[in-house]
Amino acid sequence: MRITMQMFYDRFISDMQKNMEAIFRSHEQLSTGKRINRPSDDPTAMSRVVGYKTQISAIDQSKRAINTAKDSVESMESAMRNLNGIITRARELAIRGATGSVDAGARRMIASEVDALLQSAIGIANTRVGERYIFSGFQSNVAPIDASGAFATDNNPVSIDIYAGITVQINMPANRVFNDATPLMTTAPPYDTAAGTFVLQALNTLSLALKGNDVGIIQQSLTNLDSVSGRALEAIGEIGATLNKINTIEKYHNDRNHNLNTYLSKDMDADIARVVSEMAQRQTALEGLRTVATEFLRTSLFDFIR
Amino acid sequence: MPVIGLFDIGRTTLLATRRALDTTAHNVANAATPGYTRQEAMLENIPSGTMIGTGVSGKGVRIIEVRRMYDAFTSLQLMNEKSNLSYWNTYNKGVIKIENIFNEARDTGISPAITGFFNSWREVAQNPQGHTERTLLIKNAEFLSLRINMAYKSLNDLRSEIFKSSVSLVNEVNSITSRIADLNEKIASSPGALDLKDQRDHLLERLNQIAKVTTFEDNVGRYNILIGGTPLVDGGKVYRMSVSTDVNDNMQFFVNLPDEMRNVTNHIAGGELKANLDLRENKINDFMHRLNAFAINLSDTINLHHRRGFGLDGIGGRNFFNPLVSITDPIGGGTVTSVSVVDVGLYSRNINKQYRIDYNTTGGAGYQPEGTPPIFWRVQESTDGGATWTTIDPTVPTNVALAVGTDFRTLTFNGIMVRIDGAPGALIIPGGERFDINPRLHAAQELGVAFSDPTRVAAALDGTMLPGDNRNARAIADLINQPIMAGRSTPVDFYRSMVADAGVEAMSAKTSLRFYNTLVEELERKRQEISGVSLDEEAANLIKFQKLFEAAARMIRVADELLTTLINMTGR
Repeated sequence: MRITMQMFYDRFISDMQKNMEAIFRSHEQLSTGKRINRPSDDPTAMSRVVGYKTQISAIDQSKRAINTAKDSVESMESAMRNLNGIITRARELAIRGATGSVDAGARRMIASEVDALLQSAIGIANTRVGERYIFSGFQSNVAPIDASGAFATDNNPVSIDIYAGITVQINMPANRVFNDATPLMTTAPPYDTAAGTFVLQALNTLSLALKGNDVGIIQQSLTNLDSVSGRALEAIGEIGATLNKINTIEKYHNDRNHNLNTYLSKDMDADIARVVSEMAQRQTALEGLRTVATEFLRTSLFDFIR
Repeated sequence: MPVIGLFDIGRTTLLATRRALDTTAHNVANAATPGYTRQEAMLENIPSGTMIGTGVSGKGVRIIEVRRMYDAFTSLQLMNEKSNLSYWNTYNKGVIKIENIFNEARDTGISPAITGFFNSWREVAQNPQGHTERTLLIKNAEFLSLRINMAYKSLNDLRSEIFKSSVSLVNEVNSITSRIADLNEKIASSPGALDLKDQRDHLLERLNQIAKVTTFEDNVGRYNILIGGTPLVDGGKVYRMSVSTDVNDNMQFFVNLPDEMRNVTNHIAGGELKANLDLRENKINDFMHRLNAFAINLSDTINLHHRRGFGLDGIGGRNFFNPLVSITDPIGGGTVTSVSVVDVGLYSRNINKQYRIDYNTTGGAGYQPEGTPPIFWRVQESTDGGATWTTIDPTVPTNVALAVGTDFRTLTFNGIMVRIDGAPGALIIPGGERFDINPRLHAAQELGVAFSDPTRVAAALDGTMLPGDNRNARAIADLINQPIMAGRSTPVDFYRSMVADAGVEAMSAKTSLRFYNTLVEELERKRQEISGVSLDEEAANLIKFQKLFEAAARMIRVADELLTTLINMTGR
């Protein structure tokens, strides 16, 4: 084989370029900390990375949705527990009022306490989370129980998606437990005994019966309170189930998030130790190349002609 | 032979070595000249010329020729592979630019903008009365639009950049071909002009890097150069090349022959011009069409849903994005509610077309029946802005009942799907129905949010159930998981395949480039082996011929001394 100087130059330049490029790439990986810096570095991994990032972003969003749901559902739960406390207290008062030894004046005293309970119950029905009435429907800016004590909004369930395909109801229209669209009676008799299935009605009937000194209706109210208490507990159970669902998803998200970040890092992150050692290797090669080139390319036969 | 003959032999040696030294010096001088081919002086002994029975030595030495140390086969191969290398070099640079536009390794990619947009709809669903959530949604939608606009614009800029580069390359071709023609004439008149041949070969090599050409030498040593059968150089004549864009903004190459402007676009086979063609009219266009399809489907689907909902002001029927398909509905009772791209491949081949859909009761040329009793419809297309129309045969429409008393049907043709709402009776009211549909050419660049007032965001499905009704916002947020894009893919998957394709393209171009680089290096070495100048060798030649020259000079002195001896003898 006939070798010319140009062949050495060319080889030297191309080898030097190759080494420089490798060092440049290693340097890029070190400075970004990433193994993939453009799609062509690993197109399939890049495609996976886009997928992981989308899922992580969905989970982040989902976490915020879970917080919103939790705020509402937890408020609903505590509201219902308070309501149940009110019902229990009203039962005690009803039992006291039904006792034969209590006179009309004492019954009126008891009635005023029942009225206070009724007002608290209405207050609970009009609980707000942020700007939203949680016992309202879609008309979330309208108080569910109006001045007459009647249910005054729509009863649509408001749902949000806490994860793809998983929805949670974040309201409980007040006509479920509190009252339907019937305004509360202001005078008695006749008493609306059939309306005893709603909390506000039951409390109102009790108050009116106490004021009217009507023991029969007071006793009837006791039965009513039992049945509305059942309703309230049922609602609490449902809310509890919803909370469980939310917590399960939240736990699943934490695991999933961790996994996704691990996958992402596996595809994306540079193996620093490997990159550094590779870079050192290339650097040694480059130094060797330079030394040889400067030593060898410097001389030719011409140097020896005198 | 007389003693005088010695002088002659000495003289031939002096002459020959002088020329050999010239050659050596010339080689040394051009050791680093690209395209230079080593020259070698071929020595030959001069026979005595007299016929005598016993052996007679000759009359010295002469140079029969100075030869170019040139291997035609290697050179041809090298020229070919250099043309390929130059193709991949240019192609690689182009796809790297495309790849940069779709680089999702940085956090500024388009996919976070897509997820950000849909996540904002979920935020609105969580708090539909919230002003902040609505404002954020509009901001994120604007950001997504901007990212798509920018990507599209970058691709478009890349196309015009490539056109400019093609123009200057074509200028270079013309300058090279006229220089080759010039050299052709000179070489034809003095065939021994080795260095002119070197220059010409070097020009030819550069020409092949720009575009692959075929070359053959005529009987007087002139090169004829053809590009796909069309002459560029014919002996001393030059036919100039030119480049321009046609009505569809496609690059076209011409050769200006005496009797015609011949289109040679399809004959550009290799080199930088072919890479420019492939990038500009294939790769970049493909990505642009996909972005257009993405923009059209995104705006169409979101708008279709958004029009069903109501803003906080109780008004419904508004678009969220600017519509990217112009629809005119001059007569009739139906409405086109959706135009989406279902097949990017078909759609991209038919971009820049207008469509016209007609309905009537009687049928006619090109009309097809729908339902019983039938109404008749026809789809026509126009490529010249509506001056002439030709009937096309779309896929048979599906007629689906939407709700009681309302019908819609979808017509699929040329990669797009048109949904027309309206009962059959409404479509054939006297005068018939006619729709003109025109997908925007640069849809991706025109994508934008239709309004800036956050109260107009239609989160509610029922205009009387405000502000808490979030059903429409939930439905739109859920579209991120729905196959709303062409080829039945989700928005992120559709975009993801673009990123993957850009990556694969760049990676394979990189691999090809590396391959051709090695190949050319190898061939270059092979050429160097034969044609390269070795300074050591030339130094050795220098010493050799110098010594020879000295010896010849001494020969003459010896001859002189011999003569002197003879003259002195006779003078006594």
